[in-house]
Amino acid sequence: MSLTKLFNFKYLLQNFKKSKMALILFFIIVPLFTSLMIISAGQEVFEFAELGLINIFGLYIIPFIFSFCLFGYVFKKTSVDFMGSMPISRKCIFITNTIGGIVLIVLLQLVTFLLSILLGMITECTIFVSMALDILIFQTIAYIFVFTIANLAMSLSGNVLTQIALTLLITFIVPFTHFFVLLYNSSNDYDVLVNGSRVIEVDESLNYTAPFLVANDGKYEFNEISMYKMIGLSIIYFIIGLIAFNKRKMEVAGESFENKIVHFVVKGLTLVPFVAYLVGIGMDSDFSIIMIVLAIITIYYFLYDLITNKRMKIRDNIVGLIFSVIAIYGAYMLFISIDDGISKNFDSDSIAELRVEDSNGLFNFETKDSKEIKELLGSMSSEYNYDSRNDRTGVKIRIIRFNGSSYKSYVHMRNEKLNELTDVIINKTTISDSAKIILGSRYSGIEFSKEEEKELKNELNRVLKETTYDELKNLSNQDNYGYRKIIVYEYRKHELKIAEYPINLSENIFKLSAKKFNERAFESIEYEDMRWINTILFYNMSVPDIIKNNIGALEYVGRREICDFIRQNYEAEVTNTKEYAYITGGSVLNFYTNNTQGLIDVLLKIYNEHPEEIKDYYGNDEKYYYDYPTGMPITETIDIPITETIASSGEILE
Amino acid sequence: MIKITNLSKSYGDKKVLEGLNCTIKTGSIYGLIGANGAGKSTLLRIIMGIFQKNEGSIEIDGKEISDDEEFKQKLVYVPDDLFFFKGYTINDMVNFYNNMYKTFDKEFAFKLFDKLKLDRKQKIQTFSKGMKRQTALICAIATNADYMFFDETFDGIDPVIRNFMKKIIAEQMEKKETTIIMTSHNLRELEDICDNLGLLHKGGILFESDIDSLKTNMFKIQISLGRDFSEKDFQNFNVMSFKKTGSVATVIMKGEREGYEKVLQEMNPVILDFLPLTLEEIFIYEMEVLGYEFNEIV
Repeated sequence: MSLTKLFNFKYLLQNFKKSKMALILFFIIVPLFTSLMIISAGQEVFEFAELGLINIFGLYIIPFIFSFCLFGYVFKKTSVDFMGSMPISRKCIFITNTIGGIVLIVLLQLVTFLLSILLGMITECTIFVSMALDILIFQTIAYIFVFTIANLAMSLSGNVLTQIALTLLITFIVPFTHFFVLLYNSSNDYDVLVNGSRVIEVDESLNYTAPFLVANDGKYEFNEISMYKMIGLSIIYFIIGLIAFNKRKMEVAGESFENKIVHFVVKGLTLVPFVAYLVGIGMDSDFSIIMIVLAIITIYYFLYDLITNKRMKIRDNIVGLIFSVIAIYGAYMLFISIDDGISKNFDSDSIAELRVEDSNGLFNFETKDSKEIKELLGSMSSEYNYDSRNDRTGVKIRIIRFNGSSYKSYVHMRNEKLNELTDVIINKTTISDSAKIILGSRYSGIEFSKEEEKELKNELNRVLKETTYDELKNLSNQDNYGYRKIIVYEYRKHELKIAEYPINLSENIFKLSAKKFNERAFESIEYEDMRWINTILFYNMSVPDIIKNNIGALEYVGRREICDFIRQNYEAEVTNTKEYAYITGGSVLNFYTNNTQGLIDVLLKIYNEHPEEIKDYYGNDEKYYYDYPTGMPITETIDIPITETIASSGEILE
Repeated sequence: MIKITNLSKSYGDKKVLEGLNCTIKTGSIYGLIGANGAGKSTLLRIIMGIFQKNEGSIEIDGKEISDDEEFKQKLVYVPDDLFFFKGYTINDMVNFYNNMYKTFDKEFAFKLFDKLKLDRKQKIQTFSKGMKRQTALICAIATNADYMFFDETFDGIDPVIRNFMKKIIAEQMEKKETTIIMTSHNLRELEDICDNLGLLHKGGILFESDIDSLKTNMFKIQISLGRDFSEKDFQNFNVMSFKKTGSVATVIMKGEREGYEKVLQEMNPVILDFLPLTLEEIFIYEMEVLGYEFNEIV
């Protein structure tokens, strides 16, 4: 058979032409709105689900619209006569339109991908090319998946409403039922066995196809198994769709289905979510609620017939309704009882890969060695109690079995095993060239120039080799106040990895970070008389008691003078090897200075020049406290910096 | 040649065509008449591959009909309910047909559209019913397909344009020995163009004949013998209808006119006039012979 008998380009062009307006409209929606979203996002490091957000909404509409534009003629008798008489075989029509739709989907995703990358480069947003590429691949497959379902539904149904109903059924009924049964029995929890003994409990990742993956709980991430599933199902749906289209009785145009039994079954199956709700609330729940649900089901059942079939037989419908509700209810109860009895565990021998990750992203470890997997699992526990808090550390794990299923959990690992592991890992940690580094916070942080970023990466890679995990953890714990952290974003293995490092990890990192913080602090007060000051901290030094005891009042009363001090000192280099002070006034005002004496002088001057206001400050303490613009308490406990803390506005720790 | 054998088609429980047999010669214009719902459109849709038959066979040029593109290039169909893409002009439709049919004659189509003063840039949706029908017919004729199927061919077209279209169809047939199948529920529309006529009733061809032999084999006379006479006087003739008013009788006869005329002259008639029969009258009498009321069938 020649290719021209399977694909007719001229026909495709004509088909595109006849519905060009709808196709163009829906073709531009995703790229346009994705672009607008990126432009309006400001400074943001996009995650997979965030960048694919518009695409996700489009997934439920656009493939269906494409299918309707290309195949919609089958639902109208006049167009069936016209198109059916044209010298083109049904097989060729189906294949041509399917390929045409796929081309449209690929183009749509490609345009969205290119625009995302382009806008990622020209705006302040950070978009990882590898992530955008993952979205391109995953979304293209997801769209094609829905498109093939819509085409199959078109082949089987007689009007657009039944096509919609059938598309929804094919897309959702299996994953919905599976998920419902799991949810009902809470049975996606598995025990992991090592040498026959249970060590930890893990949650199975539910690799549903994309439409249900999103509809389920909004979790949307690159999922390889889901992707392969969608590819396989798309091929199957395409083949069934082709056969059904070839055999389609065109006289059914405008009707529901050719066969009354099919209409009855489809109508009944659309009751699944309602009946599942009935199962969920249980038959022993409030009678009035059950009656309301049954009334809704009845109204829906009758309306369905009126809308899709334009006629209904009351007696048949009542019988059908009772039968459908009982059948679905019974089936769900049966599934639930079967699933409930299944023993949910697996042995460590079935594990292909184990990934261990620190909750702050400070290390990532993965192994495929079965012996190592067993040892690591043996050191883990799902239980955590107060007594074991010093012996164990919480880590995130991911298990991938040989059958492709994956599991996640947060477990507690024995410290000695963790240290063994981390000594190796931290030294091996390298921050890749594609990583994005942001200082402060994800949404309002400070970006580095290319050169600075390169310098930082080199420095981080150097320092991390010399730092143990414990040191890293201590540093993070000690200096985790506010926004003083370097966030490293990397897109690896289809996941956005986020690691947060303290800025006092090394002198060079501190210097560079302080410089960037000071520049931002100056910008924030450049055109303002003053800003609220939340906290002043002194490091590696002692401060006069008068300051220590009145720091809250001084921060409040002397904010104008403190801002002047920042203006005068922001350009000076700052190091953490000497005594230094830190002033913060929210996310955009973080200021470091080694001119601690200068700052003390300013504070003393404020104390001496504004006795009345300081007195008022204490007099109106309560009022002031509640009016304080950022809501930051005056006295607060701060963590001890790496070198000893002498003074702060709050309590002095050891 | 189209050969239909034992064709059956049902819509659910409703039988539309049942055991239909029919042969349509190549290069002829076949008129298919029948009441609404007789199955005319269904038959054409099955031939075109739009609907699938339940039983029987349809052969065109000795080959069973198929969904194959090469095969369908030989056929063109203008349905009863016309369809045009939303927003399409004549130019767009011509381009569409030109892309679909390898033998489509664009210039010929444009020439005809211009002759009929149909604005090629105007949206077809804004056309009158007749103009839409003209557009569809011209597009179909310009495909130069071997077999053309026109359902309710001249529906909505005024007499002048109808004659023009008939001329075009006749010319096309002569030019390429095209086989044309036309349907109508109005016999008068087809009588001056068709070579053959078939009457579709209750899912089968009830009566079929070529028009020439129909017209030559049946004739109407008005006769008066100058004496009292009755139908018995004509028992040697194949009389299909006998009506006498006063001394003059109107008789419909079936047979060879020349032979009958000689015998009638021998009866020394006072009046003997041979009157032309319309096709409708021929059908009425043929149906009466078969025991049907023509007006109930068509």
